[in-house]
Amino acid sequence: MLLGAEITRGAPIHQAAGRGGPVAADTTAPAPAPGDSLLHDYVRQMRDSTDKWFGSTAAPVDTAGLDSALAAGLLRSPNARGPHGQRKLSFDWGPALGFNRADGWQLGASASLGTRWLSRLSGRMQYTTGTHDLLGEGGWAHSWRIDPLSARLGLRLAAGRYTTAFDRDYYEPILTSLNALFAGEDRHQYLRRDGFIGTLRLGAEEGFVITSWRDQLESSLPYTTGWFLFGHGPELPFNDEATFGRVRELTLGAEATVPGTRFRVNAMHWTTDPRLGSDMLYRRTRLTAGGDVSLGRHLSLVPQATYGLLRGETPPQDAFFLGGVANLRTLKRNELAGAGRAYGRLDLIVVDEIGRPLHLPIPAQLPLQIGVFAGSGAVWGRDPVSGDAVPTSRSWPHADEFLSEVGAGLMLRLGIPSPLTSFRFEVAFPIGADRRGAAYALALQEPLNLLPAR
Amino acid sequence: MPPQRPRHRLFPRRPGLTLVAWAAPVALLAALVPAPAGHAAPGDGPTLAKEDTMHTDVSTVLVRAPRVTLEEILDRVARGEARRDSLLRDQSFTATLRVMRDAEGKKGPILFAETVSRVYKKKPDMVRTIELRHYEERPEKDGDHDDMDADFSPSMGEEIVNFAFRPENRKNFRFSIEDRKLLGDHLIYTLAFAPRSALAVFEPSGRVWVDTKEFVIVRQEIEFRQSPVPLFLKNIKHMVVERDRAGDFWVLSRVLVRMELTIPIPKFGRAFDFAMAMSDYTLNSDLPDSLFANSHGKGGKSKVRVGGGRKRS
Repeated sequence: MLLGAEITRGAPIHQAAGRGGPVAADTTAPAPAPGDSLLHDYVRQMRDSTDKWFGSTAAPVDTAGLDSALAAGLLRSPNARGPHGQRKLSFDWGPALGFNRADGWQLGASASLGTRWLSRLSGRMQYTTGTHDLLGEGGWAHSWRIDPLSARLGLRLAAGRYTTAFDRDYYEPILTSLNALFAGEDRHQYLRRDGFIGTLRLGAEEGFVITSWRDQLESSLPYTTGWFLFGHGPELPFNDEATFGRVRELTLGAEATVPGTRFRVNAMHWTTDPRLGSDMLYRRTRLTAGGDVSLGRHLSLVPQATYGLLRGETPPQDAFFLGGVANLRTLKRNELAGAGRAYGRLDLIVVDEIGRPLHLPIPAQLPLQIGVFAGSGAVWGRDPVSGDAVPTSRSWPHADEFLSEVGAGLMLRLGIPSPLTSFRFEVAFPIGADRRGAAYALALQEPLNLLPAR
Repeated sequence: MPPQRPRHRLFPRRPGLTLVAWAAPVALLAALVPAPAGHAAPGDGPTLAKEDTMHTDVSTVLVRAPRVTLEEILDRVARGEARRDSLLRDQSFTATLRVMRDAEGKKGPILFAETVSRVYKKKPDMVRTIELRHYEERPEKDGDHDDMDADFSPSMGEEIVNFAFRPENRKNFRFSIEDRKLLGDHLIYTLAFAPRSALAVFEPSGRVWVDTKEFVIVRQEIEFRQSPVPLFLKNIKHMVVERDRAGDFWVLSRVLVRMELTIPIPKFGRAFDFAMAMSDYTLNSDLPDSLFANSHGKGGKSKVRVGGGRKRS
């Protein structure tokens, strides 16, 4: 093997001291063999066409002064970053705003400090105009590369006070706040959590495992804010009462890609027990699977399903919810709650951009896709009078508890926050004789919305 | 058999009219006149001459070796890339990162920012980057250069070249053989790849040129059916990844991308180029650990931020 060979293209570049400095020994590459020269000519021809296409972007670097800069750089400590100084820490900050009918406005700011030795420290402080309370959280996070596994191990520790929704599976605070603020159509119920949470996550390309521990006091929040920006009286003029108590909860979870497929399986289990010092006793389990199957280049079939079961006590803040953009469109958001939930959905999506061929007045660069879907879901373990989740011994719903629907939708793919994220407009029609009617839904989500974001 | 003359002259002979000049109208006429069913009767029109005086005999060669399948090529490329990676102990090179604005303006691409660095890497996880020069068209007043910042990974695996061929990613792409070319004793395969998932219209597809002598990738052209971030990035027009020879190794030499923004940015334009060029490679020269000091594992993935808004103290 030839050691220390080098490429030199374009203008002659600085010699050994500059390139390898005091440590590298350069030798000049020998003239290529005749067979190699044909290959090199071929590669060079392609490179020339690249040069022509990119113009001055592809021009070789001006090497003037690089030798002396390298000599000076090698004299500096290896830990110094460059002539502009060492990067000691980074600081980010931004507003932390929210709105819901329990807290009212949540006005505040968040900040994070990144240092090489302390990793990332973050904090958030908010004042609520409805409950006149202070919310805040401080956290520390760090991650380590695990080379043998091609994975990364992350640890996050945080403590503080914050407001969250009863629906533990599908809650998106930013869009929910906007919906509550502009339209008053927020149908989540809210509770307060005070305490500590620690999360350890080992993640790789093919999946992750996660475990977390939290010790938090959970409490109800009153209904304080009856207005929204364009009117008065939100859709739900109340906020359900949460079960009060200290929760010491262990979470175990994992996600993996099914080998040889583009399907993912996600399993999560939450457990709390008085033996752990908790005021509550439950075992909450959720299994979700989904993926996509290509039907040629233009069609994609996206099946997904989720199953959840709550055993033991059934605090409303741990129930499973059905209805709305998260799952069954022909029900209102979180219209049904129970100790168990099963839901499946099948999408058939035309992945090609259809806006331009149809001459639709939308920005040309935003790909508009079309699709049809069918979905079916049920909740069980619910009190028929109050609608609350109640303990159940059943692990599966009765056939007559399933509610089904079909529909069609347009998807304007925005690519934010993930490349698959689309602004979806869907019309759904119920199947079966019940009091549901046709409904439309607007959502910002991925086709595989039942699987948690990675 | 000698070529037959046309029985009837379609055009009167003119002095100085060459055979080439004749050929065009004859061919045009032949194309315009519908071919009669069955054989043309003598005297119906011109008869095309057929060369039958040159003969050559090539003996039949029975090829017993099976043709290398696509799967085998992909396996060998993965092994070739892994072998290449395993043979590299250390490397150093000069890296130039460049952002050009107004790439499709009248004046052509204009240099917006450029950073030249010397990068040293050593296995297992040592990396050191020495910045040699930094240029910004509009530098910030505080002298900080947040617009472009490069951190190089300690890895020498060149994932940007072989991402589709890595065993863990291969199931996500569909491959086909586009072309074969024999150059001396090098057989160059051109392989096309595209995302297997129809849903992943934003994922890269493209062509790679593989030298099957060593089963290494020597060039890659990448395209995107749709933009990954359509809200901000209208499209990625052209992307080329090139390798060059450094001694016994093919090493990453250039990555060039032209992108177009959805909304033009004032004083920057809509289309811009990003270029990363690596030159002056020195490979396996036994770089001393002292060169790296405490920089073990620092750097993470190669990261380039353009137009970032972070504040640093």
